Amino acid sequence: MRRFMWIFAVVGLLGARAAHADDAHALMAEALAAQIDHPTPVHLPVTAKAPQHAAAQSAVKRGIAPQAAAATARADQARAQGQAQAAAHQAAAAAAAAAGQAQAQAAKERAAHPHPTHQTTR
Amino acid sequence: MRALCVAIALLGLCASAYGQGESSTSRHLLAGVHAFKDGHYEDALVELRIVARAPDAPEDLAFYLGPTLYKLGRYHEALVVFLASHAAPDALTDFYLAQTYYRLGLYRSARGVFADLRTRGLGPALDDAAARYIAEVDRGYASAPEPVVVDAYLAQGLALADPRLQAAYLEEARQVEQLLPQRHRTDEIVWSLGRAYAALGDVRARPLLEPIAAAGGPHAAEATALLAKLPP
Repeated sequence: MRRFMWIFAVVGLLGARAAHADDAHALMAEALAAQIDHPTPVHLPVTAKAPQHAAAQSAVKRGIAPQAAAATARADQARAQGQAQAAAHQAAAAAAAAAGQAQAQAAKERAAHPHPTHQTTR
Repeated sequence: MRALCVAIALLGLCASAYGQGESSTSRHLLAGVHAFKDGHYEDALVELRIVARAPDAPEDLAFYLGPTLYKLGRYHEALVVFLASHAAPDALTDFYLAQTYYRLGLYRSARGVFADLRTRGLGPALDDAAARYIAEVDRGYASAPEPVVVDAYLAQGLALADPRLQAAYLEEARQVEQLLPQRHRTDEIVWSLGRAYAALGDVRARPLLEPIAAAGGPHAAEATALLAKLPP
């Protein structure tokens, strides 16, 4: 009887170890199911630029913290945004200049060739 | 009495083995899981990296490590972990794989995994989430995509160094290309994808490279050489 008790103890210990791994799996499964994300809108890529996360990954390889990589990515994005804004401002300035030139040209033309109605009113 | 001694010796050995496991890999795994559960993903990653280096790391490490990297926004690393795993298929692991594809903008691949998961029978909450992901992808592809989308995936794939990531982007390019009314860079995609799979020793390279080798074009010799290196 005592012999059987010892055998049960051994089996119990081995079983406990397996249960430990099962615990981790069950806990993780519970956490995974609770932390699923919801879909964000689909944005199809339209430019042939390198993937956004390549920089973060290479930074990880270099031993830079993910936050630093994310900051770099944000800085890149801000720079890109800044460039886009600068381009927009340039375009707006060019458009304004063109409009100014057109106005000036129209004024010159009006001065050179006065409108008939204006002549009649005078 | 002899039996008692043997049993005690055995018990001691088992207790020792149990204690070692408890104090290293299992303990780190459990700590990682608890950290993940509490949303402390950096801490979880530290623990799981230790587990990954252990000789007795669990075969289904991707189940723990992949979602942790995903939660940290390290999508490329997560994708590599998921794709490199040889563990038996698991619905939750695949769900996070699909989410990783989605976050990387590899929507067709994500859709494929979500659709497959739904046929395997998920619980109602996961099934509902998978259905929402699929609906979102279908909304994005309600009309035929522009060829530039294929160009983008192809360029992104070729810019990556890891052949697993390369193959993922090129597969996406291939799937999107199939939605176009006309062929667009098919040969380039197939050749690049075949090479990426061949670099991984993946037999999926075979049906892609065999026609190229047989056609006798500019890539025929290289395709033949790559095919020769593939496992049977």
